[in-house]
Amino acid sequence: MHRRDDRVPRRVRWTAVLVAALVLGPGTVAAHAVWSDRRPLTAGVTSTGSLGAAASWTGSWSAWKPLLPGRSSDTAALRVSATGSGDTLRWRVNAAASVSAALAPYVSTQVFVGACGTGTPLPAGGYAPAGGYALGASVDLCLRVTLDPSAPSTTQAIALTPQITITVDQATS
Amino acid sequence: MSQSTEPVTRTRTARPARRHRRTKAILAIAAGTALLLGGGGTYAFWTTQTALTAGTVSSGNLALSLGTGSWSLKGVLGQATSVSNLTNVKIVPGDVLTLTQPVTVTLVGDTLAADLAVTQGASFVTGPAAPYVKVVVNITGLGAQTGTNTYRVTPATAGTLTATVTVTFDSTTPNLVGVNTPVDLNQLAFSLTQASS
Repeated sequence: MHRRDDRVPRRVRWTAVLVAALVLGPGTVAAHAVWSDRRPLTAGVTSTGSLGAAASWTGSWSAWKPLLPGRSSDTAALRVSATGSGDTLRWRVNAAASVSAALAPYVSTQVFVGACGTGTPLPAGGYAPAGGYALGASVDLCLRVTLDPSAPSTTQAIALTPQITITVDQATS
Repeated sequence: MSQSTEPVTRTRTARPARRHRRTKAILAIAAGTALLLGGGGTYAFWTTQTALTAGTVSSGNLALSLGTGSWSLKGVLGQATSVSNLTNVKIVPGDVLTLTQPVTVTLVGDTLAADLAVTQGASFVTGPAAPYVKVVVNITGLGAQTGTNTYRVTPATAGTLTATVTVTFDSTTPNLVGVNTPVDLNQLAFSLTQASS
């Protein structure tokens, strides 16, 4: 039977265990080490770009006049451009027009690329020349509104309140 | 002559057991040391030796170096163009940055094989853009990949290889996800590691 004085103190035992772990642990890792070499690139930091839209009215509003049944009214030119950055970025333009709800059943809208009537009607999927528009380029749009020839007299003296929403998308074809 | 033989009573002072043990230990160590020292001369024996004539063997080598690479950029529209300063480049969805990189692999060792890989650090690209920027490497002459962007190289296939690393900004990236996000190309690295499995 051991007396208390003969026993190895608990603190000493734990210290021995800890020392063994510290010695054996790194030794085990070293046993599985293999040769390796590494070369990072030194190309620097590049970044992604961005894309935004800008639009402003320009030109004459002389063709914007009160509507009569069967007649049209044209806005001035709306100049659209893209903002942002991107070395390869090309864009296309799209637009959606609307008028006040009271007149919506009798008023049709059409957006042209270029001048109203003589320009290119904006396709449903938007428009871009071959290869898309480059940053810095701009395109003029025109909105034509037409009152249906069969519009009833209840459509008289109602504000048209046209709206046109411009969208600029990245061109991919 | 008569002697009186009276019993002698000795009184022993009890010593601590530890003290006895220490004394015994010291005596044992002293005796062992003496025997060892004396034994060196006492137990001499005949001996001879013959050297091997196997020659000198040496350790091998594993090394990796990069030559001068060249970068190009191609968008979804248009042709690829060379890039001299990547810090000025702004990539957009559909862009592919391509690095053509000479890589010299040195492998010397009868049993040596190594894995040549391109790795990317955690901060290569962060934020919403991260899932849409992918890195792929292709190294001609090494067969199929053995892991993600990893090829197995042997001394027979080592030498100067041409690696093509592409960084692609996914063309399906929606809306304006990932705009104005840094892409740290320095986080890309070639690594060569001795194969252990």
